[in-house]
Amino acid sequence: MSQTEIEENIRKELNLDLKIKNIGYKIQKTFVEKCPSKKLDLGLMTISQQDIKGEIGATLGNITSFGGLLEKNINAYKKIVNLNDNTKVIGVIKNSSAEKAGIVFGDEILEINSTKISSRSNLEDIYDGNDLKIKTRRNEKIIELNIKNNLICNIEFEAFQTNTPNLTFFRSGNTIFISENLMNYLKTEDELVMVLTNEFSHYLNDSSTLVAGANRLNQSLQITQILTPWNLSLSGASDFSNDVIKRLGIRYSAEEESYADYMSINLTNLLGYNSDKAKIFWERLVKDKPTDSTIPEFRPVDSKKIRVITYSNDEKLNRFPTKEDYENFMKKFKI
Amino acid sequence: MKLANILVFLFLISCATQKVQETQQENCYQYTSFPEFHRCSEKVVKSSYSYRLSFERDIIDQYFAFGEVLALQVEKKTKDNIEVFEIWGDELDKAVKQAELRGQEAAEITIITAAIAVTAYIIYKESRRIKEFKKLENSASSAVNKVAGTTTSYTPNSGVAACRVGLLINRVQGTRNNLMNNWC
Repeated sequence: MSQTEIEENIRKELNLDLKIKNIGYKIQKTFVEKCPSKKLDLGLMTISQQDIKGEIGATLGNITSFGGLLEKNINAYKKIVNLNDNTKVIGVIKNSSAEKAGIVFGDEILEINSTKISSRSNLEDIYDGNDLKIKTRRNEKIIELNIKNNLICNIEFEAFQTNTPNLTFFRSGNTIFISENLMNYLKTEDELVMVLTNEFSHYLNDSSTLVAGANRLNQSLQITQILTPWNLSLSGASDFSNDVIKRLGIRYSAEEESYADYMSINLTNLLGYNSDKAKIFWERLVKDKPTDSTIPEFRPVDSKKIRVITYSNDEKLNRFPTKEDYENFMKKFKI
Repeated sequence: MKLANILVFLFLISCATQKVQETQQENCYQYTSFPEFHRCSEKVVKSSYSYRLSFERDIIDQYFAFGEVLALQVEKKTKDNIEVFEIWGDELDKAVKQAELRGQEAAEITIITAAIAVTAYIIYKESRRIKEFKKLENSASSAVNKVAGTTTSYTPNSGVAACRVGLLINRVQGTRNNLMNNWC
């Protein structure tokens, strides 16, 4: 694979990541009071050479056996964001404190509260604190910014690639995963929001979830993501993308899914999106019956779901739905 | 080990018995409105032991989920009752193909749904005796042949077709049900 192709792939990933994180951030911020766990967040996506080495080197071991994969990835980021020895901004989340402070794509994060930033973990370590002083470099000019950190839900949103087409979304702990194929299958942002709020509702409702650490899962996804454009398979990574998702054993009960469906319609509207447009996703899915979908393996996709989605869309609440609202709704429509 | 086998056997017997009873209690073919017929047939299929013991229930679930989309459209008057019978019939091919991809066991469970849907159409047609249904007739015929695994041409006689469907269900479920009795 050429350097140009690697660059294109990374650019595509960055766009997907930013898209899902923009919506995710809106969810995290809007419903922060409802979340069992909260965190402070600037709304920044960053990369450094240390991050790339960590992601590739730590997991692949002898990187030279992959034809200089590390070097090619670093070179790609040099082209994309002019990566040097410091941490670079590769994405600024909409309406985040970072955006409000004026941080832009390509900024070099030098220090936060006088601590030198060398990697994402380093950045996260000093996130705690409401008022941050950030020193950045933009076009050789040093800029100092004061940022007020935002309190948001402690949940992550991740898009991932798979080696074979797979329409899926699921959650592991407090990380919501959505496949790139599903993101491409979704026709509107309204549909994407409904999918994410469905999974977010499961998180709020404390539905069953995969107990394996989300970090390990995420790491596997990242390896797959790195290897996918190379058509390489690494046991673990490729297994994960092809089969392991199916064998994770996470399956919501009909009742859990039904409650999440009811909530997702109402949360979609509360976020300012259109549930009339969003609900079409489920209708299209049951009509198309795409063979590469593993969605039904994680949740019941049946006539009850269609009824709940349709009727809850008919009777929009325009406020945060409670369990009591849901129970009254189910009684009213005899579902 | 023996005890486990006995328990499984008793469970199968219990499910099978329940299936026959429930099937006999239901007479979905009295309904001429799609929503009523669809929900009735869903109940019948989902109470069958074949469905309950299948590992491929999601195919049937999705099939009926789409049927529910159509049923709600009829209720909301955004689609015509006759039109949705046709659309639902067209879905049979998709469901069968999807099941075939997963192997014979899945294909058999799909036959039950397919057969019921085809019968629904035939009975609906007979009850209304509308000539415009000729097109649907061909589509139903193709679906019957598909699930039956035959290439025989469709006989434009609803009694014969329904009997064939009854035999199909009989073959899959291993029982003689009231549907077959009515038409053969």
